[in-house]
Amino acid sequence: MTPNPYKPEKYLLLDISSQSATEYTLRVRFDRPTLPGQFFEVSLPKFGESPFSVSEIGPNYIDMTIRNAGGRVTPAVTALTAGQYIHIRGPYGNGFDLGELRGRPLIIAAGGVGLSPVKPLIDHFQAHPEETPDLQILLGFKKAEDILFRPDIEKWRARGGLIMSLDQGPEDPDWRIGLLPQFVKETTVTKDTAAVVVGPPVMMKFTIAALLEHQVAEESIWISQERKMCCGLGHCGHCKISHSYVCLDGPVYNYAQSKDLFD
Amino acid sequence: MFFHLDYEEADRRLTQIGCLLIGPTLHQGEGRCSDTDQIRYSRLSSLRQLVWNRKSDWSAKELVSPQRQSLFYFTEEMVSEPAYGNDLQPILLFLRSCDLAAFKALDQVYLNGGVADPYYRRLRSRIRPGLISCPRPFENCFCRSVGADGEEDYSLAGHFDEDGIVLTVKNPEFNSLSLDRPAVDFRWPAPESDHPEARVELPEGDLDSQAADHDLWREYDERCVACGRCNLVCPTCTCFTMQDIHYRDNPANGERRRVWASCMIDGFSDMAGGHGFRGRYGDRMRFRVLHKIYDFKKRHGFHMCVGCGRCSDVCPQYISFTGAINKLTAARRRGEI
Repeated sequence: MTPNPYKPEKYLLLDISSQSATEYTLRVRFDRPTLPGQFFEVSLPKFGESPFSVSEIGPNYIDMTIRNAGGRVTPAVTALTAGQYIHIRGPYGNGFDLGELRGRPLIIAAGGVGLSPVKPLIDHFQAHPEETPDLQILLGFKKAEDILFRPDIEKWRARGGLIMSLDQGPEDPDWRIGLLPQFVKETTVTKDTAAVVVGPPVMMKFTIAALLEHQVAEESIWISQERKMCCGLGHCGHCKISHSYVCLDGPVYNYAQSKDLFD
Repeated sequence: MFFHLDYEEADRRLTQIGCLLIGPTLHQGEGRCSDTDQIRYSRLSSLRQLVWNRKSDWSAKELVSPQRQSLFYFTEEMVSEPAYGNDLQPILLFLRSCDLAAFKALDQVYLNGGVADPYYRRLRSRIRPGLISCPRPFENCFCRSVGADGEEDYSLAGHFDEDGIVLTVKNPEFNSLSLDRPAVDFRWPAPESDHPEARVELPEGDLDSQAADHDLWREYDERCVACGRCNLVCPTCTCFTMQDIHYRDNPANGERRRVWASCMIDGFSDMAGGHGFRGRYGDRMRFRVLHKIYDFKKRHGFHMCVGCGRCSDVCPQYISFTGAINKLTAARRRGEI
């Protein structure tokens, strides 16, 4: 008998840390292969199940960064403590194809919680600088309280190639004020440049427009879509965009191949 | 080969075969307006109870995709799957070509489209389809326009009238039905056809976001009330939402279920951050229409819509599904999309 694909397995929660007033990062013992950009269905039995993308992939663990959205699942999940168990199934989705990105100058633009699914990709290229001749990162958050992964950002800053912005002040010497897309023109683009854009729909729309204007080719832009995904298996229908299911065909899409899809 | 059985003989022979009989039956006074009846799929103790001369208000999908289905039981820290008893008795399910065609779409979603769904597979394995003929195209019917007429993937097919049933058998499980019965000369009163007022012409070629942005959908912003009835009666709507509960008298125990979801109802696409898609009802209408007659085919090679017309039958705002398709096709012909 084939195993029941809906059945979640119990995993040990190694750590839970607060990222911001509403965001928490769960570290879970997990050793099956996982790609940057993939997601898991995380559940607390009797409370519910929700999809979360992986925000760090370690040798024997994965991190997932979860916003306490005040529903049924996230308050219960974020109230857990290390040593307790959490139920997981996955990973699901295609994830980023590192083969497409390796060897190319990269621009990675992440807006708000969109940093979470793209962070494993940044981690990868930070750990393997030989795999890209140039890594430029654009990070945008609404305001200072929303900033996630501060310790990681500090590390990335040390290497350079980072533009950090906040939509609203107050002024901060490290963070520029303005919307992320307006900083795209400060990046260096060559004909090989590949770009990855992840964030809220409006941020993605204007960042892509700015990248195209800045001569990044359509085929060289990848995005990651966020949708409600109740099953991760192509059955529940919530994540359908045109003829595509985000849980099966995505969440990572090549922009040229997906720009005609509509919700 | 066709052969004739009167109702008593048919019941006798089917009892010996030992399957459950399910088909469209009349439920008096249970219609959605006062003093009206409802026709829905339920268990038959005799084939005489089968309603063959009217359309059923509900489809047969509940047999394989129940409104509410328990996936797991949680007992303290334990997760267990429902234990199944001897509830896998075959079901001889009498249904029309449209509802039979719908099973192809359901199979595609649950079994062939992604990872096979064990809950669906288990219920689906019970079904032995018995095709019933349509005496005439019913109101809002357009199976032929979408290619759902003349379905042939049945175990047996029966033409019902006052005296009994003219049958033909494909599945050897039902061979004993024809035992000692002479062949009769019979022409199946098919293929089924469209109701003259429900004929549709589907848009040809590829549709892009221009089709989504077209003004034709704005009419539905006003008319549609997002009640989701169209989804619930649709034989091919399969969307569901996961739901966990704990028992009131013992919160340590509970279950995970899936329940039907509707792309027309608020909250269908809402995510944790509060962001959702298709706020306007017209956009939800467009999403549903295009899934049924365009997107699904693009992914799977055949139309999801089977032309049963129940969405039009049931709409409290009298929105015609065929009307929407024809408006879309007209816009394409005018070169607007």
